[in-house]
Amino acid sequence: MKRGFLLGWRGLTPWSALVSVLVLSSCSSDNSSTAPDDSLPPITDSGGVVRVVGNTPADFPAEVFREQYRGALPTTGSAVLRDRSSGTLFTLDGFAFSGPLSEDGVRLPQLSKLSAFWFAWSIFYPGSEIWGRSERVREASIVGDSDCLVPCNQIRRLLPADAIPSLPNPGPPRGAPRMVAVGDLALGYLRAGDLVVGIFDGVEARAYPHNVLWWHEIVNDTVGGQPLSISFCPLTGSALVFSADVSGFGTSGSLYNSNLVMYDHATASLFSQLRREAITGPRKGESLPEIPFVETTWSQWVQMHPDTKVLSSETGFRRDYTRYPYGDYRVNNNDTFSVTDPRPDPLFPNKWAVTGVQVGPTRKAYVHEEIVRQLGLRAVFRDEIEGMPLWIVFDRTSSYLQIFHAGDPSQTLDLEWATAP
Amino acid sequence: MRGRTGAILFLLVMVAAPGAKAGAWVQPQGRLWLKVGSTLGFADEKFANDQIDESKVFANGTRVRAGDRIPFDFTTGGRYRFQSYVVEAAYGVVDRFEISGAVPLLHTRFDNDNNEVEPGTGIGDLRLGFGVRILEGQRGVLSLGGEWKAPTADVPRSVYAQPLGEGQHDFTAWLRAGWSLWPRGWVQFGVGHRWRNANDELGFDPGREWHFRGEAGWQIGPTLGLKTGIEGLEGQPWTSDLFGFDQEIGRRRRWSIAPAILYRLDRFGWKRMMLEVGGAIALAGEDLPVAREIRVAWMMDLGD
Repeated sequence: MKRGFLLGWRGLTPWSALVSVLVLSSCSSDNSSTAPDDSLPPITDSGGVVRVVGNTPADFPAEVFREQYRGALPTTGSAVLRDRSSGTLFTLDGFAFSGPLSEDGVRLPQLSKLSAFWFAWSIFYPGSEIWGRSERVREASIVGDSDCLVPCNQIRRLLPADAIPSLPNPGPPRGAPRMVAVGDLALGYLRAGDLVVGIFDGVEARAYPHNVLWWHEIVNDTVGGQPLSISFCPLTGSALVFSADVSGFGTSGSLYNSNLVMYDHATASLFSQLRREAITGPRKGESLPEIPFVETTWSQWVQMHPDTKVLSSETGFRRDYTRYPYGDYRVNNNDTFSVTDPRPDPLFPNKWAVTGVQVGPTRKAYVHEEIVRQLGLRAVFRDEIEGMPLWIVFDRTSSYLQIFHAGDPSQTLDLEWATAP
Repeated sequence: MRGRTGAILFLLVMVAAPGAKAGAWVQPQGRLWLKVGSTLGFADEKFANDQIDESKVFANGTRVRAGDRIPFDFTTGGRYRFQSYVVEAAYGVVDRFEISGAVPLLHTRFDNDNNEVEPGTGIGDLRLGFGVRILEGQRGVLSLGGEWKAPTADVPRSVYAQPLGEGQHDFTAWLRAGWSLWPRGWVQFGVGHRWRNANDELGFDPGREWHFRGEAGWQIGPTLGLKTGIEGLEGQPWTSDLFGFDQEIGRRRRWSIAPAILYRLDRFGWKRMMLEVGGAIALAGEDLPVAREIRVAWMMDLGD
């Protein structure tokens, strides 16, 4: 594996950082040294330091995406990808783990992507292409003002800052949330069909269940000495993982177009999660360096990564993590939580799941139900945006949609769904 | 970041409302008026503010508009409780001029399924004021005055601790008119305008407020009286510059009805003393709790 491409995450821009690769650099049982601020302890686990690097496809030669798979093998019988031509098996993270290409350490680069409810995607990404449809998302424009990149008066405050406590909470010490292994009693709240946000760097897998994110929305974790923020907005159904500074992010108590508005503890700049940038404050205009992640069901994730660490219910807060706190909001067709401008595009039901991606200036929405309608419950298919060849891997049962860069060396691949031996 | 706005600042609007004394009749020279009052308040609902006027979450799809009653804390079943004990005094310095003051002792708590907000107990923001009787007829009286609320109380920065004060200076000007129907009853009306300073420490500007109070009382026997008050608060929108720009938080308003029974204690030998037992029920509002209050007060006059 080449080590010459380590970059600071701050230098990444969200849509230019089309490919971010997580690679292991070393292991240590002491990650306390990576947390300079004792008041904001890192999430604890048994240790392990992972270094994260990233770059754009143009700067990142294809051979860099050769990396021996060093994680636990997928569970026998679980879903994997197979290259028909070589017989090579790939994990759903894109790592070749069995067959000829695994010996070369071939890895399919994941593109940074967003998941969200349809209505939210249509508000934040007007004019997007829609896979399988001739229509585009309804056009609209958003014009900011002198203090904000968006109209300031549309940043609506509903709660005081930190009223929804991020983890670890920066307020009165409550201890650090605990990451545990599969089977730990502190995972009793988690059911097979519950969704998780998963991060895998080639060695270590970590899962952040929606159940916890419903109540906390932001988890500030330190992975391999690199601070990360895992964010989820229950109202727009949107997940985003990005690199952060050690002080982390908190919830501002405000919404912009129904979507989570975060603030960074260091400068109090406000960041729109779905815009992936600071919309006010000293960091206004600064983009969040995105980290690829997988969003899928807990049962799927644990089959992909049986050795995964999971955020437990021991968060320092007393919450019923089995209960969705917003009634039937996630399944009804109510469009918004607060007034939005522009209004949602009515092309699809509001809560349909969308995975979206941007390549160059082109944004594209993959509407899960539209894929089901045209290709069925499970599909692997090619697509192309701005000349970039892509593999789209989709499984509705596990709410999994992954977008891989299909350039060299993977452009010769012919992928299909398979089961792990 | 300069600080975080406290989570629950509702109580203070009620307790610190001008006109707690609510008397158009300024004390004559040498007379000291004392009141020791206690209020017990409950709320498990609040009036929605205009920030969520198209919210469709709270009632499973029912559109919620500003002023609608919504659960106090729809995710964790929040319930608000408070107790206050306020000692008030007014003293007639000269025949048409009085000075007044109030010291509130508060106990506030916000309970929800998680019980994670620390209760607050202690002395709230102190108030000093004055009143001048500017017109007086055989039955009617018109007075004006002012009040200064000092930020003397503890205001924790955490959203997980109940504040006892608001943390900024307020100045109120009021005008009150009364009409005596002696010996049977009285009516009075007061209006106050409160200038509220920007709270630089917490990063918000609470905006100005208008306060209204109308009251009618009737003596139904030698010792027993009844009165009913209408209390109103109409606030300008709060704004916060916590994140570097003026962000509108919400506009606070509330109208309540406050009936009470008055009982003279003369028959027990306690001359010029009175007991008041009543309550207040919020009827309409925005961005404030739908509060139900029980109020008990003991009042007396000393001096000439």
